[in-house]
Amino acid sequence: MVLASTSRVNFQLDYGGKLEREIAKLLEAFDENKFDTGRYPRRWLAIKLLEADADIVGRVRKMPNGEQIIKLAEEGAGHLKSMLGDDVDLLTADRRYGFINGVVRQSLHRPRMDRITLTDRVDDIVTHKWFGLPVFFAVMYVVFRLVIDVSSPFLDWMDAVINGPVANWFRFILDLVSAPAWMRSLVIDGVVAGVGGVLVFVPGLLMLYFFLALLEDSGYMSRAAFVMDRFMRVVGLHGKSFIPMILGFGCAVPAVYATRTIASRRDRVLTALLVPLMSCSARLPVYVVFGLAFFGARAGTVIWAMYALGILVAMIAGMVFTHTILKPDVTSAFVLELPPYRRPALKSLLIHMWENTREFVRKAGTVILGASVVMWLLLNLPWGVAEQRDSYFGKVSGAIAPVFAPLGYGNWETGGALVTGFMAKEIVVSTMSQIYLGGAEEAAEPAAFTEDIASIGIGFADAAINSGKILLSIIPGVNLLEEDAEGEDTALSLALRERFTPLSAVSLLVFVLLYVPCVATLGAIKHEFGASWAVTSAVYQTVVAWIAAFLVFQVGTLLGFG
Amino acid sequence: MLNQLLYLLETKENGLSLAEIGREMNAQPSAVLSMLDLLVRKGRILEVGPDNKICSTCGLEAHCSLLAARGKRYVLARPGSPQVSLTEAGPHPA
Repeated sequence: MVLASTSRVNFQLDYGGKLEREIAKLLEAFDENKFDTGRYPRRWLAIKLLEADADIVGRVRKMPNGEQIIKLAEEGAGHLKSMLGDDVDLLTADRRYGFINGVVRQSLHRPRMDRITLTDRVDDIVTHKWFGLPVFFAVMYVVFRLVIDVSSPFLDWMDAVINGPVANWFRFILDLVSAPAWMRSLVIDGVVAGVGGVLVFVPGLLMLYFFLALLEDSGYMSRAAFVMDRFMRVVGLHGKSFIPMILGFGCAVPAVYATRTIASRRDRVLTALLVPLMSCSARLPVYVVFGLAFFGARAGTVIWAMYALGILVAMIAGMVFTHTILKPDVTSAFVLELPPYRRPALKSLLIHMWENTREFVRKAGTVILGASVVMWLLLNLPWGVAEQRDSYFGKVSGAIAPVFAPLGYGNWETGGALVTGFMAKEIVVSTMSQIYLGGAEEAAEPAAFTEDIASIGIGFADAAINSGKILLSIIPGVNLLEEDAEGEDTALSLALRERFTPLSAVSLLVFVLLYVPCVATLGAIKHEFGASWAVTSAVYQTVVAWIAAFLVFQVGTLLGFG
Repeated sequence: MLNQLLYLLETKENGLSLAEIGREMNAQPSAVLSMLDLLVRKGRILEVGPDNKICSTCGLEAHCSLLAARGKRYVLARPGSPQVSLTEAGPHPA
């Protein structure tokens, strides 16, 4: 804004004919009644009395002849109100604001403001009736490609660190204390293989949470909910239900509790039944292990397809529930404030990223550690068992395995891993690590501690450089990757390729995506809606998972993909 | 100006936010705020929260997180009108 000119003049505001006449009459009354206004300007005091300003009326009442003047002012104000239909204070304020507005118009030249902001322009596309949904899926695709591609060098690095130096340090300590063979087996084959197998995915989770926070803090997540509103109405819900579902991409437990913001109980129950179909971060390790083992550079696409399939199945399940046990009640309008787009603060992104990943690491140190120890026991009982398939775990898993045979993986190892996944989905990976890798790797020649530290540092630097190259190669026309720059195969990848085909791997991913929610999620559903809904969730998801995986494997085999 | 503002609100059944009023009147929100305060004091308009309940009758107004997040709206005081009724007024979650 530019102030054109300033000047100081002896100024008196004109309140208009009728008001000015009453002011003049009151000023005459001051003289007639020999009313001394003291330190107050006469005109100002007359206006304040006509406005019935409580403070001024109180002061005037104490002055000589004040009562008479107040009476005359009240008569004048009443007269004005009867003529103009409003209180005098509103009439005077209107004149003042009108005058100010006139002054501003004459003295200020505002640069022409573009009323259409950048946010409006972006929203025209991302919330468009037809483009909004493809944009949403494209954004999710890019995010998951970035998560998988950029983090994969770090996953290889973590795998090398855990199975190399870390395992060697444990072996060194166990040698130092002359630990018995069973303790060496428990620590190396149980704890390191189980917990380490899950901790390998920490870089991927850091990346996932970073991008989810980026989408949220930039303001795009609100647009996603808005875009999905139309989609959600197909299943008798509205966009408000999509917000818990977005949370479900992180973890289903807080997402189930987030349904509390939905007004209708029916909508809350339906949303909670659909939330576990969103791919939580615990499933990501399973996707990554199988994706990288069987699909290499296309792993990101496969993982994105799993996320999209989760949403699709949620839509179908929602439609089925809406037409059966959860018929819709009165649907309310979805009102959502779309905040302007803003540049996210790096500190906020990093905090968000770390707080969520910390939960995962904490779970690895508690639930998964405990499960790994129990798994090790079950794999080694009865004591001294030679073959794992003859252990208690092997026998129980072998009994369950035929259920999974039509899905393409009727072996006891996979059956057992899927059963343990009921505790937490990432345990599927830790169980497979224990079964396939436990005891398989003995350290070569132990390196000196300083050499280990140096190799960890060099490995990290290599991973960072490779990640940077992958990130830059996303730009069209830029290719910094060498032809043979595929990530190194992990020991688990090699083991899985001996036991699965790409088709049975996809079938397994579909099953892991859809089958029974983890025990913590079922606990949250029971807590919020009762045991019957928790049982409903467990049963329907397991049935849907089996049917979907069956269709994938059998139809794929018929089409010659087997 | 006040009449212009009252006329504007008369045409908006669901009221307007401070920013919207500023835009409609081609004025800075801070310039419009004192007019709105005056009209609220005089009972000509009402401040309502995002849930259409009247803020001035709510004891939690000062601590209302909903209000802090979404801001007030201003509606013309029309006793008995369906969207704003003094009898419906009550606190929303703070």
